[in-house]
This record gives sequence, structure tokens and C-alpha cells, in this order.
Amino acid sequence: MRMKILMAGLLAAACGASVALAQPPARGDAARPAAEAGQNPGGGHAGHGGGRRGTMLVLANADGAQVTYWKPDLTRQSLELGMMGHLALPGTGMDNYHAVVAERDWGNLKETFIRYVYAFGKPSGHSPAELAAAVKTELEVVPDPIPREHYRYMADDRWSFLVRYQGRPLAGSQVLLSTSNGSLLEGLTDAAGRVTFRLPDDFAEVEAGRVNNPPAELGVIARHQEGGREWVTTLTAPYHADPAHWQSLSAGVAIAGFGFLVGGMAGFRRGNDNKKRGSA
Amino acid sequence: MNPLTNLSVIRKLVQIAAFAFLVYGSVIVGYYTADKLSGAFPALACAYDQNTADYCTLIPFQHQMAHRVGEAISGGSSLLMGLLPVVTTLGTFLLLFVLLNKAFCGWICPLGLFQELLGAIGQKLGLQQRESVAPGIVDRIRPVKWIMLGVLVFGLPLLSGLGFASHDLVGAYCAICPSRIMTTLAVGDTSQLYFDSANPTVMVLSVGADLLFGAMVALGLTTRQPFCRICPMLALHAAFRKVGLARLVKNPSPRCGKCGLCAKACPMDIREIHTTEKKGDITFADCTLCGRCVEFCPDQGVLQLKYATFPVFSASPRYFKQRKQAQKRWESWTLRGWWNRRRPSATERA
Repeated sequence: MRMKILMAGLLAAACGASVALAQPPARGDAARPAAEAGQNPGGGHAGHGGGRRGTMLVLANADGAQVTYWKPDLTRQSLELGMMGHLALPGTGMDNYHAVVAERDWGNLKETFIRYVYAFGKPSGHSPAELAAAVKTELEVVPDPIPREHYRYMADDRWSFLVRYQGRPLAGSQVLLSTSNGSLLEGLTDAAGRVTFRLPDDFAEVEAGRVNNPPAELGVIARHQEGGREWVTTLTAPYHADPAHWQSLSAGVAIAGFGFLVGGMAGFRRGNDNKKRGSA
Repeated sequence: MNPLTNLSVIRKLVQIAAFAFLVYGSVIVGYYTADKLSGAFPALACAYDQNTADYCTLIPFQHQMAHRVGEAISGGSSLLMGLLPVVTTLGTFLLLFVLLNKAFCGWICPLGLFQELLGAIGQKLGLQQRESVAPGIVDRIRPVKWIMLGVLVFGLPLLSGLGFASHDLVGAYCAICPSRIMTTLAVGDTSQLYFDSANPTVMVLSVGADLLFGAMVALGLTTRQPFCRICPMLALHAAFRKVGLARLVKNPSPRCGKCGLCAKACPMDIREIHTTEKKGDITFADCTLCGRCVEFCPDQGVLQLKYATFPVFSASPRYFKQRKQAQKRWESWTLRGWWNRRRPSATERA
């Protein structure tokens, strides 16, 4: 029986893969997975979303899965799965992105799940570019780039991903983007192995405010076959509802326009005062 | 006058290069936070701009006040540990700040250049007013920068961390900063110009930000450096200006009390440059070390820009004469003047 690492049971069904890796629902509330689970979803910055607490991931039916934790300085450590597939990410003392790589080798098939998680600590002195560039497994989907501080994956935004096989870009490869909200997109990598998706705006009920909308999960899935062996790899990450649902550009422009009028009137008034002073 | 000997032209070139680097510089330094130049830059280089080369120091200050100091106090843990990152940020800021002092405002800040360009556009449209802002207004505006620094950068984020204010006030200053809107628009990102209806706090902040940005653009056409006068970075610079190596120095002459050209040239309307009889470092709290007062001082060596003890640029009658002519040429053509000249006068029409 193939390994099943379930991420709220959502990604795998959509893409045919049987493995997933994600954060657990917090305090038994399945509707609030990442925001309360310790990691700052999408790699925000210190403190938001309880970012200084430890991070917990869930892998279900994951017997025999090899999990490797990559630190920002590219040193690695193996992680043991806990009860019910819970995976507690240990503190490394290093600030910045870490990578969790879950692998299971079936002989003719190797499945891999990768997730980039932000952990807090002392500045590591290493750029996430190094972690992204490191070859972590044979076939991998790499965020290009990983969302930076103050940014996160958000619906309706365009984000690129690189597909690499043995460290080299895989051109012309079909890539799927599957979300826990039920969307499925297909893309094809270009000569540089890059594929770009506009993340689906597929949140069913959006409330005003980011904190009121728990993130959903996305998976970017690539496959490759060579010499009778197959690799399937998935990059998982949280993504958030599009703020355009509660933020309005046109209203912002209108308010700025009103501010322009007020500022213009103040300047005009000062000009008149100056003229009076000059003529006095 | 050879433009390359004109301090204002040299400064503008430096500002343009700094703007390009700070707003679009991720292609040079790298994309990620860890790649940034300092993470505590002494000018309004905005983290919301995905292409920026560095971050303004006000960002870590706000977050550290909320998440480190505030949470350390409210959580009953060591205040010293909470203050440590603030001290680290301050140290990083000072390491850079000491190099250029308040010239980070006058020579480096992207929002400073933006306002100067608005001023140039306003001048060409015939809207820019040559008269200084009235002393009474200047005096009333001056404390605002300290209130901005104390309340928006330190106070509200701390209250948020302590649990006495909304979490939306963690980045209270960033939420209203016009540089956030300007720099993101400069890279083609409209996501920061918005009205946020999520809750009353963010609604007020977003309306305040948009109003301030619009007002700054309009005022920038008629008045020199409108936002700089209330910028919390100006206040932060003012607090540490004595440690900076660059400074404005005055050697008063008996003629100083008469002409007042230095004060008229000052984009921040610091009339004390003209009135002070102090000898030596006169880098005032509102000074941006732009050097215009030195350019428009007609007396030899009365005003100087110095780096440590070395004079970098000194007032001289010869330079003053050339600079005044260059300024006159620059101001001679305006759209309004051209339009007025095109219209036949009433007597001609009759």
C-alpha cells in the first residue's frame, strides 16, 4: 500500500498523487489550519500568527516516510514522525526559511513532498536563495521566488515555480496546481523549467479582513519518468484570500483624489495669503 | 554655469541613483529579506516594494515595539531580552546614519526626491510658490514629526503589543506612510493604494494614508517638501544628528543679519540658519543637509557643508553669482507665464 501523507485530505485527490504535507487544524477546528498552527502562513514576519511558537505539521498514513529538515545554512537533520503522523519541527535557532522534505521510495516510483516553513531565531546569515537553489531531491518544484517578508501567496496573484530534475531545469513538463478549495490548473514549463500560475480565487465564503479568512492549501505537482522509474513531487504551501474582496483600489484612488483637492486648496490658500502679505 | 558644478544638479543625480537603487535594487542585492543592505536603512525605503534594496528602519522599530518589547512586558518575560532587538536595530541604523547624517533625507530618501520632482513640476506649471511658508505655520508644524515618531512608530505599536490597542496598529506608521504608496506605485504595484473596509481601525488608517498621499502630491506642487516636515524619520535623524559626520557649519559674519537668502533657499523654511549667531555646527533638527543654504549664501565661507572636519562645499561669492543666474534661468519659463504672455492684454483687445 502506498504511503499516504494527508494534508487535510485535500491535495492528493485532485492530482492523483497519494501524498501530502501540511499543517494540522488548530484546536480541532478544521476550518482554521495554518493561521493558528504556529507557523506564520506564507512566510510573513516575526510575531504575526504566533510566528515564534513551534511549527507542527501532519502526515497521515506515512509509515516509512523519510523526512528531512533543511536549515537555512543547508545543514540537514532527519525528523521522526510522532503519533498520528504529527511532525514537530524542532527549533534550530536560525531565522529564515527552512525546508521540510518528505520522501517515500517505492522502487519504480518515488514520491516527494516539500514545504518551505519560516522559523524564527538568530539571523542565519544565509539567503533563502541558497535553500531554493540546493538540490533537495531528484525531482522538485521550487518557488521562484518564495514569498518574501510582508508577502504571501494570495488568490489572484501570479507566482512562478521552477521544476528541476537532478538540479537541472525540466523544460516542457506538465505541472498541476491543485488547491484544497477544489481548483485544478495545468501549466507547462518553459525552456528554463519555469511555470507561472495565477492562483485561483476560489474561497467560497470570504469575510472582510485577512485574519478572518483562514488560508487554504495549494500544491504544485510535477511528474517525470526516466528509465522505467517515475518521480512525483509536490510543493505545498498555504495561500490566502484575495484582499481585493475587502480592499478597494477605486475607493482608494477617490480618497487620494479628495486628499489632492484638500492639499490643492491649502496650497492655493497659502498662495493668496502670500499675495496679501506681499501687497500689504 | 556648468551643470556639473551646480550642487543642486549633483544632488539630484545622486538622488536619482539612490531612488533607482532603493526602489528597484533587488536585482542587485537580491530579492529576499536576508539579502537586504541593512534592514534598518535611515531613509523611507519601503518593504512593501517587492523590488527594494533595503528597508526603512521604522519598520523593524514598530514590529519590535509590538512583538518584542510589548509582548515581553505583557508576558512577564525579560524586558532586557525584549529591548535587545530594538538596540540592535538602533545600532544598525546608527552605523549607516553616522556616515551621512541627515543627508539621508536630502540626498538619499526616495520620498524626498519624489517631492522635489513634484516641486519642479509645480514650478514649471507656475504653481510653485517662491515665498517661504509663514513662520507661524512652520512653528506649528515642527512638533508634528515628533508626535509621528512617538505615537505612530513607538507608542501605538507598543500599546498593540501590550494588548491595549488593535493588532492592526502594529505597523501604525507604515499604514499611513505615503512612501509605501509612492514606492509601490513606482514599481507598477497598485495594491497599496486602497480603501480597507475590514474593520474600523484599518478603515481609518487606509483613509488617512490615501488622504495624506493625495494631499502631499497636491501640496508638493505648490510648497517645498510638504511631507518631509512631519516625517518621523526626520525626527529620528534629529535625535542623533550630533553623531553624524556630515554637518552644516556656520561662521557668522556681520552681514548675516541682513540678507536672509540662506533661509529663503531652505526647502524646510529653517529661518534660524539666517538668524543664528552660533559659530560651528548648526545642523538644525529640520535640516536635510541639502546644501541649498550654502549655495545661496553670498559671503565667502560663512556657510559650509563639512564631513567630519573637512569642508566639502563652502559658500563663495563667485558660486553664488553663477548659481543665482542659473536659478533665474530655471525659473524664467513656466506654463502659466507662457499662457499669460500668449493672451492679448485687455488694452490690446480694446
